[in-house]
Amino acid sequence: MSSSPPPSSAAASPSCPKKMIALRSSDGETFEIEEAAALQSKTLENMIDEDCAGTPIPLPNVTGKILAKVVEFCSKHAEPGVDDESLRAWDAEFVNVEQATVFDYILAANFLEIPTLLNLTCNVVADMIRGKTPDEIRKFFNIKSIFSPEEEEEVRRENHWAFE
Amino acid sequence: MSSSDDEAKLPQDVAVEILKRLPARSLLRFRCVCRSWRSTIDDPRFAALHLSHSALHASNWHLLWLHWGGLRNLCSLFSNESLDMPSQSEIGMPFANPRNIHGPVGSCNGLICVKEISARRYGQTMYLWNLFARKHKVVPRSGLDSRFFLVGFPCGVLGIPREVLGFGFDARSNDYKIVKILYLLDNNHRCIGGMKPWVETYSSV
Repeated sequence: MSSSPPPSSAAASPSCPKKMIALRSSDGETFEIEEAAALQSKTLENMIDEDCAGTPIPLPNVTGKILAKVVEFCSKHAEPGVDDESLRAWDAEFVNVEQATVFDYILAANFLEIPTLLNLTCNVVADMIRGKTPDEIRKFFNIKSIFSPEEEEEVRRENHWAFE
Repeated sequence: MSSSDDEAKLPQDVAVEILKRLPARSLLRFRCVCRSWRSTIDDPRFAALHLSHSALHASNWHLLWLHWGGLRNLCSLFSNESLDMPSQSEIGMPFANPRNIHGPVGSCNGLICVKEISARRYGQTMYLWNLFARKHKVVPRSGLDSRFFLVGFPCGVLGIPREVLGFGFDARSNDYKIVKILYLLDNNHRCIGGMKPWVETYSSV
């Protein structure tokens, strides 16, 4: 996806001359990503080691819309010569999106095992939820609680000061 | 907040990734979100994960200052960044008597060990305090102090009993321990020769 030449450190073995990796989203879209960027994902790193044929790697858990952004994130973080401050500012912009989208990023980062993206997005969500009530948390994550009202009351009482 | 029409399922490992970034107060509140969150938050392995994550950030390091003047069950908490007195600076030690002086024994992984200071310089009551979870425990007394006190006199040796305390975490037994060393000083405040110090270790398990 990037027009700059691949970094020289991403040396290709003789049997795998391609430095671009193809990915296919759950809804059938195909994306190309530089190998160095793809290696940010432990999941992709394992898959790349196994397969040199160049067929697109299917990612059934990630939609095209999200995969496009994940590729953008990994490519940015693989770019050489970016200083920490600019990267942090770029990251802040990257997660300045709807809550639902941040959540999709988390799921993708978890599935693809991208520590930098997981760390960034989890920090954002943790900040969003830290002051919420348990009810708001359930709505936020669509969690069904099977506590009976008595059980829930007892759990609340155990740490009542935390609700003040 | 589900992104699709189906109910978004929050995978357990993702929940842990988010929960470990939350402060203790939020976590204790979220114990009643659902059973799975309660058992995660109560799990000692999660506590270890939470500790190792928060220890990475300097903003989570604090300095605790125990007051010896005025009301003596109070202490002040300073953040790592500055020693300026914060506006809500005083925290009550829930186990402490406002008339008694309390001194630190030590702190480890966010647990604080405090002892009551009295004229008798050994055998004072000790407490373990988890400040941010607002839980505390009295350390049970052993019989060592009274046995030690009797030793000095029947032998005809008049000695001044003293104790030294240390608090820390023992990774091998995965437990917190307090080590107490009791010894006798002679009238010149030197350790009485030939008398071995008495050593005792308190464990919570």
